[in-house]
Amino acid sequence: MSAFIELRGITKRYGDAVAVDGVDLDLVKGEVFSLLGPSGCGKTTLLRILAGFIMPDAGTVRVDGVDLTRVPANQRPINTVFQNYALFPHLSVRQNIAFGRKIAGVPAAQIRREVDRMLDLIQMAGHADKRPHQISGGQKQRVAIARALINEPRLLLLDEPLAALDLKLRQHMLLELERIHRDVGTTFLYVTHDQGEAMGLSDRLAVMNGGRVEQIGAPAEVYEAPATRFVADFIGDTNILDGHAGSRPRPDYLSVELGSLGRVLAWCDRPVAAGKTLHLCLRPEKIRLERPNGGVDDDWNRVGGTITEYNYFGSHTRFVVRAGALDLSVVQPHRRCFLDEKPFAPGDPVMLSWHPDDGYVIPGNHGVPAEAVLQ
Amino acid sequence: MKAGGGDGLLKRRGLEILLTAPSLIWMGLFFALPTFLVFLIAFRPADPWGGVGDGFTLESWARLGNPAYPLIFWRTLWLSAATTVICLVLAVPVAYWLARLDRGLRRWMLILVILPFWTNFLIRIFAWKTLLHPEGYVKELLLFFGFSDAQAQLLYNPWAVLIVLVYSYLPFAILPLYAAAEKFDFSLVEAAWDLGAGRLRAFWSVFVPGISKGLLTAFLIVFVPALGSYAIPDIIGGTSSEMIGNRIAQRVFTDRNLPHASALSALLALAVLLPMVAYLVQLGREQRRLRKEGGAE
Amino acid sequence: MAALLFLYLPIIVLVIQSFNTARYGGSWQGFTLDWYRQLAGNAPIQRATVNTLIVASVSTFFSLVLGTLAAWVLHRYKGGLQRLHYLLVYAPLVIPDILMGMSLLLLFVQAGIPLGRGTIIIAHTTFCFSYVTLVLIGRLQDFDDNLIDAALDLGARWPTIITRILLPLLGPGLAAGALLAFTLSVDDFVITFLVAGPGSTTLPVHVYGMMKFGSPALVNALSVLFMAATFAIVLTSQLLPKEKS
Repeated sequence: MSAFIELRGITKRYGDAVAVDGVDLDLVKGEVFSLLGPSGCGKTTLLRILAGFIMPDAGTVRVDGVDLTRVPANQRPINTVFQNYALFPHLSVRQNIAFGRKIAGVPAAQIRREVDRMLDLIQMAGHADKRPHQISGGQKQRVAIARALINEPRLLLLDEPLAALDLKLRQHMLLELERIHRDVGTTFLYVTHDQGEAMGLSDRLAVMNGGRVEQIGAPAEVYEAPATRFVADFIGDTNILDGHAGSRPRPDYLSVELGSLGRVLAWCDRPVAAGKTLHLCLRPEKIRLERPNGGVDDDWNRVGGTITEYNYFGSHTRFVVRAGALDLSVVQPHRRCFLDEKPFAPGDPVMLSWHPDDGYVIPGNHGVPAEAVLQ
Repeated sequence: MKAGGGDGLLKRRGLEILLTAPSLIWMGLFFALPTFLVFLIAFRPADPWGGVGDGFTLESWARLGNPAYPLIFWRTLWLSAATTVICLVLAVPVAYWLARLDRGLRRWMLILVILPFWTNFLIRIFAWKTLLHPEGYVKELLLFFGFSDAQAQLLYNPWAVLIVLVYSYLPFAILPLYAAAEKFDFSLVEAAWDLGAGRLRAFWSVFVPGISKGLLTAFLIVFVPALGSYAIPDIIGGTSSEMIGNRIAQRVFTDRNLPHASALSALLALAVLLPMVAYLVQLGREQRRLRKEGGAE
Repeated sequence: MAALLFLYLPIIVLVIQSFNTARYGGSWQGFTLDWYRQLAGNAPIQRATVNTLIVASVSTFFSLVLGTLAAWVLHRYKGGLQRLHYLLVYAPLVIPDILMGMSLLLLFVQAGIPLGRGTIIIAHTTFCFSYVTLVLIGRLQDFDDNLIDAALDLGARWPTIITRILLPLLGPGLAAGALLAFTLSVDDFVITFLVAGPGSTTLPVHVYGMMKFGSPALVNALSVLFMAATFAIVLTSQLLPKEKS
């Protein structure tokens, strides 16, 4: 793993507000890396610093060992796909794609060949002479990608590229992006607030909050083993239960004291002092929902409760279960047809169970009341 | 997005000043400085050769006490106010009508409305002079129906000046009102009908407040230039319908007393300043109100 | 509809009268082209026309340069300096002509600048410049600033961005601004009247003299020609293909 793109201590302030606060980031050559976070977390500022539109107040940007921190945007081997595409409205699709190569002084015949290759790549060979206003949103998106990729950038920046598209098109474009990445192998830096896009597309991602990076890792890592409460909260639905560390009945497992819910077992390979405040992070889909007289033959955590609400979503049903003093969110996929089972109804007593491995312990915050936060 | 604007390189102060300098200097030299001169020279004596002498005097201001002046000021004021009111009353229905037309027709109607505005305004004034001429068509028409006797003078009185002022400034009133009406949500008028308001009531209590910003702009854009009218009273009116503008021109061209002309201009400038400040205050109030209403977002 | 009639009635009468044999208007006394024939041989009118076109062209050029720069700066920067800038650029739009003409006259007299074509051009540039800025700021508000970032991102430098992106996209706005400036300049009477010197008479100032002291019928004919020219310009500009968006 050689650091191909290397950001060190990047900081950017606007007046008193810190947009980006000492960010370190390493990108591996050829990977798709996502910056994920809520709006205002600093991800767009970081992207614009990489593109060269704004200069950081502190820190360095290196590409392949070369310091580019002070190099202006028009001299960086980095290209951007803009959120609203920013296609030149007075130029045709072909002229848009050729723009960068023309500036670079590439001979016309060669530009023609390269643009044709790009048009094939984005499957738009038939639309070369149309103007941007004559093609659809998804097509504009593909032209914007081709216009950037034709310059063979070392790094392609994608700024919320799918935000303007509707859901179906977004899913389609996600596959399209994956295919294009497979074909060209360029390093992609993908900025989004949509965790679904980030998880589905990236090799690795960084979750940002308040100008800082909260966690960097593969999508599964970030989902299953969130480093902070913010990450657990931001990525997917989750039950975050406040509790205290108890004993260690066996290596890598921790007994967690959850107040009214009693004591449960959770995976925890980090040393935690007994009695310390912590959060137990429990994904709703990991919880099994059964009638109270279910089997008791394993070491699963078991908690009794009562169903208070449910919402049917077709592929799954989401329940709210009152357990002790807490409301837990529980998701049950419909593997069998929903209709031939006796459905759970509000007021039904149920037994919740989950494997200790699925309860993930994250360090506690100070001053957080010992109550569950329902997501 | 704006805050992070793509101008990290450009946001340097020096470049801003460099790019602002040409227009700022031009306007400082040929707008701000001359306006200041008007007030300065009003306190200078006139020299016998039509220039401006040295020293300080209130002579020009004292001459404004001439009993003819209050009459002229008053006439300027009421003619301008009447012009503004009539223009607004005429322009609001026109704006409503234009905004409700379908797109294709609206474009051509709009051109038709603006077209006279593109003709030279001296020509427009002169056209009225021809029309109102003692031997002109209007006079013949009035005589024919017995509304007028042969001696009646249609030209050279304040009423003729008022008609031509309204004629000249009407397009200026229609345009901002149309711009406001075009953005107006006409389903609000339908909602008012639905709630039992009559057509006129809906027009008055929903449409008119809805275009208040356009009304404000139209008021300013008609009233202020009307205060400074010169050519219209000069060509259409006689001595009985002079406005301040005529007196300023007389002081410049007839007896070449620049300080006196400056004092008159300074007075006019102050008169113009008042509605402008009122406009800005009202605009500020309007924007605060909008902000408050939009506060939820 | 009544409003339209009110707007056009005087103009229609003017056109009719320009073909009327009667020297002082009034009732119809027969068709003639005589007044137009007299115009054709009128040297002072021709001189005034040429002068008007020179003044309008030069003022349009200057106000376009100044206005483009001002609009760009006002669009791009916000802050105290730009608030002052904004005030100075926009104030001339609401100042009565007579005040603007008076103040400029005083400036020229005090500075000892001889009145003539130069002073007219300065005055026209000043008020046309405000209108050009107004038009261009409107166009810039519709302009997507990301396009500049995109061009920078693709390696373009500022000269390229200006010639390849800004000018083509703002072209219609610049044309509209130029047309407006030219028309305003050709049309202006009050300000020109105050700052014009001997030998630098423009057409409106000349027409004014004719209105006061000349033959009304001749003025009618001249007005009709003048109007026909403006209408033709405005109509062609309206018929030009609009930028699709």
